[in-house]
Amino acid sequence: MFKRKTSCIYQGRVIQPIIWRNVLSKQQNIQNFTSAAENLESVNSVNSVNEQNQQIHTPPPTPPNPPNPIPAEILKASLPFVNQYGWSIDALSQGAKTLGYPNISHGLFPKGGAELIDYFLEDCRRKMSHEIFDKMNGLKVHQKIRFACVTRLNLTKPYIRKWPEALAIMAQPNNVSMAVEHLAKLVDDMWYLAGDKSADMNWYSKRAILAAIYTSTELYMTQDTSPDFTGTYQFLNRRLQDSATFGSLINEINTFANFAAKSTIGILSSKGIGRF
Amino acid sequence: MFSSRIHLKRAFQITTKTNYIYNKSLQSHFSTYLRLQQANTTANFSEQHETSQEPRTHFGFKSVPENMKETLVGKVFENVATKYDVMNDAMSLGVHRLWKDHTIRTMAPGPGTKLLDVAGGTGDIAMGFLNYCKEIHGDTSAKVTLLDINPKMLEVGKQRFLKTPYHNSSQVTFEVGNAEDLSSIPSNSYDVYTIAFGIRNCTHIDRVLHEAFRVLKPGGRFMCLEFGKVRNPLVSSIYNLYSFQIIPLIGQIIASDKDSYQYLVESIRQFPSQEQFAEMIMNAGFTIVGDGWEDLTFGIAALHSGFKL
Repeated sequence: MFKRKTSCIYQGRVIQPIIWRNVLSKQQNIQNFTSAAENLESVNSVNSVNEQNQQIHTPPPTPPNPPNPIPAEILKASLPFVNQYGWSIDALSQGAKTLGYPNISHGLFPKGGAELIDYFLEDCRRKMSHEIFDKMNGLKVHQKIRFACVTRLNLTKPYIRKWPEALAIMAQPNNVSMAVEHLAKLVDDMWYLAGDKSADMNWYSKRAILAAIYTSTELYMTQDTSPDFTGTYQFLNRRLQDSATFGSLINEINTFANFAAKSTIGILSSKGIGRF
Repeated sequence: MFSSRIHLKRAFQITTKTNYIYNKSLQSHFSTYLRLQQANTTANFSEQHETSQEPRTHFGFKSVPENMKETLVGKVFENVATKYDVMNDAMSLGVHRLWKDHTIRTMAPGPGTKLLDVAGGTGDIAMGFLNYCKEIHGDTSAKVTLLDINPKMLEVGKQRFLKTPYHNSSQVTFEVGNAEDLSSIPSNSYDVYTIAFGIRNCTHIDRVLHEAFRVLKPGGRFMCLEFGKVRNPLVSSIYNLYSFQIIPLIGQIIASDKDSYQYLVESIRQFPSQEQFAEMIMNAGFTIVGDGWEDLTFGIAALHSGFKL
């Protein structure tokens, strides 16, 4: 089978494949998903928009043509059926039914469950950003990170028994890029909201470490049987503690390497090598 | 040294010989290609110049008055009705079964789905649909209406359903009707509309699409399985060779009707490309997702979808 990826043609004009946020923002003139960084200013200026924003969800990556808000509504209506039917076209069918559409409307989502997961992750990230944004004052950086992680994990809670299925779908080769993108955006938002201003190699290592912590905690959560997921939060605390140790270890190694290199140069130059 | 020269000479002889044969086979292929191009230009020409007089349309590579196409197509399918299924298998080497199966799986109908199978003819899609519902969901409430303009084709379909448990159940109904005018069918009444290898033979594709949009429920899906354009030049040349040289021959041998199958391959060339057809679907009011179609087997066939939202 041979599938061509071309641009869409709409009313005789060729439209390059566009992502949903462009489609919807043009059509409805709403503030759509942007990264937290882009979001902050607008949220700052109009706090009352916050509630409204929580109602707006970002639909999946394949845009319908002509632009149409209905698929996003179907996705939203499908989430309550996830616990019964899993992340599957059956859940999408049920969601479509509640809105009065026939069950074959799941065809709007050619990737099936993966698009539902995509929608869910995007939705959760936005909810997390809005929830924690104005509650961060007076916390230390590691507390802010912990707070963000806990808030985000709480959003997965209702679906945690079906989450392993979602992880399996996300691990399929054609969905990996989607999953990684969501994770990257999530940890980026977390660090940004925690006030991280690093502009060096730390920028990467911080995000990588947080991504590792978050995914491992999420994995732990799927198997957690403790009441109200206390085990998960303890696990999260231990991982954050580890990373703090790990971070200082990196710093020490850095200092040592620096010192060693400088003294080597010093010794060599005292022997007359390297002097011109 | 000497012997190697002889070898070289022989090699040259062989290559020139094969070249000759190769060219000869290509010549016939290119002549087909030329005819093809010529037909395209004449079709365009006739469209431009004869709109003022009697409206004309294409029937294969020929240009015929619009009101004649229906009769001509009717004749073609009357001729081949009894051999239709055998011929499909022979021409496509059985691949058409995979395409139809893929269509049903893409549709993935749930329990109680109502399907209108237009140009259903011998009932491949209808049968696949009912089997899917029965085997996947254990569902016997799914309904399908088999509609075809040609009573003879529909008769073959009826005969086929006689041998199945769906016979005499309320699950399948047969109807003779024109896809361009489904006045017997109320608006907003079906979940899915399928037309497999049929829309090509209709005179006004836009009218067919508008009727499809009308009879579908909101949220309903229009699905069209139809021959498309092959983009890969290598596959395309083999495909052209096969369809112009071999398919009419198979038609002659099995159905003893060369002309009908000559029409078949010509009409495939006259059908709009995937992009153009997707645009037509959108112009009829459908919402399409992504490109709006999926190429099957290098684009020899394409599965188009549109949603009524």
